[in-house]
Amino acid sequence: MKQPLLRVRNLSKIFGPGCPRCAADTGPEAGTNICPHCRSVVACHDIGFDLHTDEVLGVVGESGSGKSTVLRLLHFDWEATAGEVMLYENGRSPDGGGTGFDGVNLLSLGSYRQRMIRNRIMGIVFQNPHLGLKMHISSGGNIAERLLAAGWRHVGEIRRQAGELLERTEVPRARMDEPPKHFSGGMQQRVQIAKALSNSPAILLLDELTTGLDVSVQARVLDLIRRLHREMQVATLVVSHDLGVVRMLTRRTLVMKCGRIVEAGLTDQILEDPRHPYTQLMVSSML
Amino acid sequence: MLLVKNLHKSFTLHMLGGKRIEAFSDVSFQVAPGKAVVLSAPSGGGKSSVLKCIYRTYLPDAGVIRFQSPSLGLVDLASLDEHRVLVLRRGEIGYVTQFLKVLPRVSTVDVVSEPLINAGVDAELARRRAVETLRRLRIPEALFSAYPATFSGGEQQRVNIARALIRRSRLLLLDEPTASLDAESVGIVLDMLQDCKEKGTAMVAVFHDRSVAERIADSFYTLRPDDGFVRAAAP
Ligand SMILES: Nc1ncnc2c1ncn2[C@@H]1O[C@H](COP(=O)(O)OP(=O)(O)OP(=O)(O)O)[C@@H](O)[C@H]1O
Ligand SMILES: Nc1ncnc2c1ncn2[C@@H]1O[C@H](COP(=O)(O)OP(=O)(O)OP(=O)(O)O)[C@@H](O)[C@H]1O
Ligand SMILES: [Mg+2]
Ligand SMILES: [Mg+2]
Ligand SMILES: [Zn+2]
Repeated sequence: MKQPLLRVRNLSKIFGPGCPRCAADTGPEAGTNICPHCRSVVACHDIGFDLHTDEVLGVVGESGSGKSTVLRLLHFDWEATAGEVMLYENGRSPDGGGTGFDGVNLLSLGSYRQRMIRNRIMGIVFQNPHLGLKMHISSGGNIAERLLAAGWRHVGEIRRQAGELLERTEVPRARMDEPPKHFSGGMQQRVQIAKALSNSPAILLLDELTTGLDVSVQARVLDLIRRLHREMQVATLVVSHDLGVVRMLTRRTLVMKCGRIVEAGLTDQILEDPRHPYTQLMVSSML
Repeated sequence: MLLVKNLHKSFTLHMLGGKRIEAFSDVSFQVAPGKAVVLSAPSGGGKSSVLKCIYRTYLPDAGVIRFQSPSLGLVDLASLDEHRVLVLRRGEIGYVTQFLKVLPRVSTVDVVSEPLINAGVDAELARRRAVETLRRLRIPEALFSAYPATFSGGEQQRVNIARALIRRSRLLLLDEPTASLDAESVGIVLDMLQDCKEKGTAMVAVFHDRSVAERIADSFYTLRPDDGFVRAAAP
């Protein structure tokens, strides 16, 4: 068996001062993520999972359960309160798409190195396209910015690559000079996907990719992700409150509630033999 | 190659006040390479649940499912980690479910070729093999590029079989694979299963039709009619 690409252990994020009883008195049993003693929000606590190079892993759970928090911690947008995120590069050298931080806890690195790692191996699609895109600059420009950060220098090549990425994500190349604010929600998500893929990431983080889109647009975006995953082999974390999305895209799923993982398993097992009361409730509320 | 011992499965339904449903209890049997064991029990007796436990769509409560895998060695499917279960599903264990479950907007040829592509076979070759398998099962050519969601029950079932038989499995789980097929199609499917057995595939199968079962079975295993399904049958 191969090593995982990413090994996450004991990942926690507390918003607020925190106190010694935060962890014990929050969570699914307590029914809240707010500490009754110090009023801190335990957005996630003791999160652990492995992500393998060729897999799509789902994260589901109700609103506020901590799904986006986990993603933002992995993307180094927020500083974790505790935990480890180990990267295993399986022998890839820094010239061959690696980062040179094999077996290192990425959370212990400084922000300069974290930014370098993010630019080199991560792509993210935010729940809100306003977080992921500059709405007033051209779509091609949004992607060019990312390519520059990843070390591209030649203007002609950057433009060609940006056009190709947009085409792959089904945004007409002819519209690459228009800003995303002119686009529909589904097109904005596709520009975000193109941008996320621009550095050929090893890890793709997708947060509520299809929330707020029409059903038919949702279907096209999901089909696009399925196709890209077949073509690209990128380890993907799919965060969604929608079990249908997770059923379509993933083979393994984590279920979160009140900042904790309450159940983890094969996606078909989570759907057909859910064990935690919350998972059973969620599955029975599907359709 | 497969040894199931003292396997037990129940469901606890938290939304019904923690009500327990016994799917089956104390199931033990084994299958050798190239042999087929057929499970029998009345409706609700736990046949599908046994297959789902072996495939790990269900997590057993107790017991062992020992499987001799060429790539992973001797493993216990009841407790094997999920990544390894996926490795076995990709290359060694095939499953024909009682009903076809497919993703929307995926054509018949793509549905059938997917397991080969996942196993690392070139996409073009996989599609050619899918077409051959579909032809052998007498699926009309016009349906190859259509979506199986709209097919008749018998067509869907044959697509399901094609998907499972397109690659060689060491272990094949079959849940009523011929239930909605006409006699001619049943014959074709049984021939294909016979081929698999001759190449060493072991099978655990459920057939509602005893005479069909007898044409493929090397042994039968009857799930004990214990209080499990009696309780489940009574409201
Ligand atoms: N900056 C912040 N300050 C304080 N609390 C925050 C902050 N960001 C998030 N939280 C809280 O952390 C908890 C987890 O939020 P998160 O966004 O991770 O949930 P989610 O599972 O992604 O929900 P949704 O499905 O609604 O997107 C919530 O209770 C949220 O209010
Ligand atoms: N996912 C599930 N959740 C709750 N109960 C279940 C589940 N799956 C099966 N059961 C119950 O377990 C028992 C065995 O069901 P199973 O489907 O294994 O029977 P079967 O022998 O395959 O029946 P049939 O011949 O009708 O297909 C039944 O009482 C069924 O209601
Ligand atoms: Mg969120
Ligand atoms: Mg059944
Ligand atoms: Zn506290």
